[in-house]
Amino acid sequence: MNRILADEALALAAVVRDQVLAAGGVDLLRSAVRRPENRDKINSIFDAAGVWGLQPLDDGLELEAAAAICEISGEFALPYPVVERLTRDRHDCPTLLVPTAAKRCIGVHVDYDWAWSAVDLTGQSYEVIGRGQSLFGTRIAPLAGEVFIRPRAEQQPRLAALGVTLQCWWLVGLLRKALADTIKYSGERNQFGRPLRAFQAVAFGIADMTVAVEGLEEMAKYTLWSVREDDHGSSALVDSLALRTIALEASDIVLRGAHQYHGAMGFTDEVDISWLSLASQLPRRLPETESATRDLLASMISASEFEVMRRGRTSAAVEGESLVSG
Amino acid sequence: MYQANPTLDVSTEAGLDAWLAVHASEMTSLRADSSDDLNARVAKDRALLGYLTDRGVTGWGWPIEYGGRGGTEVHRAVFYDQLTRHGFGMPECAPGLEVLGSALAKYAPTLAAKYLTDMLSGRSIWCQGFSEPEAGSDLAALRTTATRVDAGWIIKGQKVWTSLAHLASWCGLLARTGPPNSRHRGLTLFWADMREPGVSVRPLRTLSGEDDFCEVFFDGTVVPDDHRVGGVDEGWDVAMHLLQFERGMWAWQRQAIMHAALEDAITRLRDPATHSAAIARAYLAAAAVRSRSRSTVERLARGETLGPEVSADKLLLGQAEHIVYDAIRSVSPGFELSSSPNDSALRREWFYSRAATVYGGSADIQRNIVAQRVLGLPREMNYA
Repeated sequence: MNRILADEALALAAVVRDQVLAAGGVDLLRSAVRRPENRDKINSIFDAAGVWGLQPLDDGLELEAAAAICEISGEFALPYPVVERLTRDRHDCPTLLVPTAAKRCIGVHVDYDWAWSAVDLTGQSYEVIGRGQSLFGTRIAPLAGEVFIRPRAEQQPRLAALGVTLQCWWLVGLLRKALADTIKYSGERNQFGRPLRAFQAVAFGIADMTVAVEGLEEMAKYTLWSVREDDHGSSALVDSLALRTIALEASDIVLRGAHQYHGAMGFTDEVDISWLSLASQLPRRLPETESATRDLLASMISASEFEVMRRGRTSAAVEGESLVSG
Repeated sequence: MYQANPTLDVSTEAGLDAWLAVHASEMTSLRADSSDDLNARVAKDRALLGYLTDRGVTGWGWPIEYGGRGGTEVHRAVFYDQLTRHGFGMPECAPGLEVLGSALAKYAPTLAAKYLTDMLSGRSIWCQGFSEPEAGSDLAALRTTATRVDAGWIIKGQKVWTSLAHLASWCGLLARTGPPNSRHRGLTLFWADMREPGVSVRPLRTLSGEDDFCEVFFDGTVVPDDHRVGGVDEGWDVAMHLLQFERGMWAWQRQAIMHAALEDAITRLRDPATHSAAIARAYLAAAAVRSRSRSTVERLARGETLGPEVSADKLLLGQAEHIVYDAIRSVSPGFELSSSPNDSALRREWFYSRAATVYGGSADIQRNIVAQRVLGLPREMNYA
C-alpha cells in the first residue's frame, strides 16, 4: 500500500492536517453549520501554509500537493471551498463544478463574495453572473446558495478535469476516514461476547469497503498523471469522469458499510461518521449524479471510438518513482 | 354522539375507503404537512386519531374487551393502508401501538382494558424501552434492573434509541429481574409511567435532522407490581411474542408508506421516460414486501405463532427501503439542498431509510436467524 504521492506533497498536507486537527477536526463542520463565519478559521490555516499559491496545472509536484491537500480536507469534511480555490482558471478565479446545460445551479460556499468561474463536465466554461438566495432546509444549507451562470466562448476541459479529480481526492480522504472509523468501532463495540469484527460477515463487509477505497486511490493516482500529461485536457476529462464514477460507487459501498456497522450510533450527531456521511452527499450528487456522470462518460468514450480508453496502457508509470513528478 | 352513516361500513375495506373519501374535506387540517417537524406531526396524528375515534372509525382489529371494535389484524392492516392511500401518512404512534398493544392484550389484559383506548384515540403515546448502550443486537445482555420492594419494583438503568420517549406517557420497559448473568432467562416486561419521578429523557439529534429517538434514564423509578406485563423472569417470552407484531405489522405499515411515497414521486416526475426504470424497480421491491407482509398479517389474523421465518420479511423490507428511497431521490431534482418542504421531507425520509437495515434487529442478525434457525446451518464457531 505505497503512497505514491511525492514526499513534499505529503509533508505540506501533514502540516495543514495537524493544524486542522488542533482547530477541531470535524467540529469545524459542526460549528460552521451553526455559524458560517466560523469557516474563516480554515482559510487562515490554508493561507498561512501557502496552499493558495499552488499552481496544479503548471507543475506536477504542485498538482500532487493539491491532491494531498484535498484528501485531508475530505478527511474532516472541511466546510470550505478547497477544491474550488485550487481549481483556478486563467483569470485566477476559483472554479465551481456545475451541471451540464443548466442556467441555475447550486453551489456550496458561493456566499464568499469572489469572482467565481464555473465549468461543467463536458469542459464548457461559464462566468458566474449572479448569486441567488442562500438556501435553508438542510443543515448544510446555510453554506450553500444558488448561482446564475452564462456560457463563455471557451472550452476548458483540462480545468474541468482538474476540478473533478480534486473533488474525488476529497472523497478519497473522507472515505479513508469512514473506513478507519469503522475498523476502530468494530474493534471496540462488543456484542454477544466479542467485538463486532470477530464476526466473519462483518470482517468481509469491512474487507469489501477496503477494496473499494484501495481501488479508488489507485485510480485517483492514475488520473493525476493523466491531468499532468494531457495539455489539452480532453482525454484527462474522460479519465476524471471515470474516476468520478468509481468514486461514487466506492462511496456507496464504504458509507453503507460504515452505517451498517456503526448501528444506531452512526446516525447521531455526536459521532463524526454521521457528519462525514451528511457532507459526502454534496460531492456525490453535485454537479451530476452517478447515472448522469456514467452516461456522459459513455458518450465521450464512444465519441473517441474507444481510443481514450487505450491511452492509459501506454503510460510510463515507473515503479518506485512518484507517479506525477519526474 | 356522532351517528355513523349506515351505508358506509368502515369495518370493510371498501367502506373505509369510501368513508375517508367522503370526509376528506373536513380532515385537511389533520393532514401532516411536509414542513411539520416531528412534534407537529405527532400532534396532528393524535388529533386525527381523536377525530376518527369519535366517528367510530378506529378500534377495528382490537378486542372489544379492551375497548376495540373486534376483528383481526387484517382490519388493522386495512386501516393503515387506507390512511396512507388517502394522504394521511402513518401515525407516528402506530408502531408502538402494534408492538406494545399486542403485549398488553396477551399478557396484561387489565392494563390493556385500561390503556388501549387512550392510544387508539390519540390521547396517549407509548414508547418501547428495550435497547441499551451495551445491549443493541445482543438484547439479552441488558442491564437495567428491577428490584422488588413493597411498593412494587424499583427501576435503575438506562435505555437508548427510544423513539418518541420525549412525548410518551407509558413505556414498555424490559428490565433484569434475575441475577446479572441470567441473560434472557432473567428479564421482565413492565408498563412504566414516563411521568413518574426518577425518569429523565434526553432526545438525540440524528442525521435526518430530527430528534428521532432518545436516551431514557430510570433512576429509582417505582413501577407497581400490577404494571408487570407477563410473569417475573418471563420477559423474553413476552418480547418474542411482540416481535411477531413488530415483524408483521411494521413491514405492512412501511410498505403502505413506501407505496404512497412512490405514487407521490410519480406525480412529480418531470421526465417519466428517463426515470421509469428506477421507479419500476422500486415498485417491484415495495410490491414484494407487500405480498410477503400480507401473508404474514393473515397468519397473525388466524392466530398463528410466527417463527424465525419472519426474518425474511425484515430482510426484504430493509432492502426495499434502500431501493425505494434511492429511486425517489434519483427522480427528485431538488433533493440536495432545496428548501421546499417537500424536498426537506424527502431528505428526512431518505436518511431514515438508511437505518432500515439497522433498527429493529439489524440485517446481519436477520441473516443469522435465517441461516441458523430456518435453514439449520451451523453457528459461527466461537474462538478465544
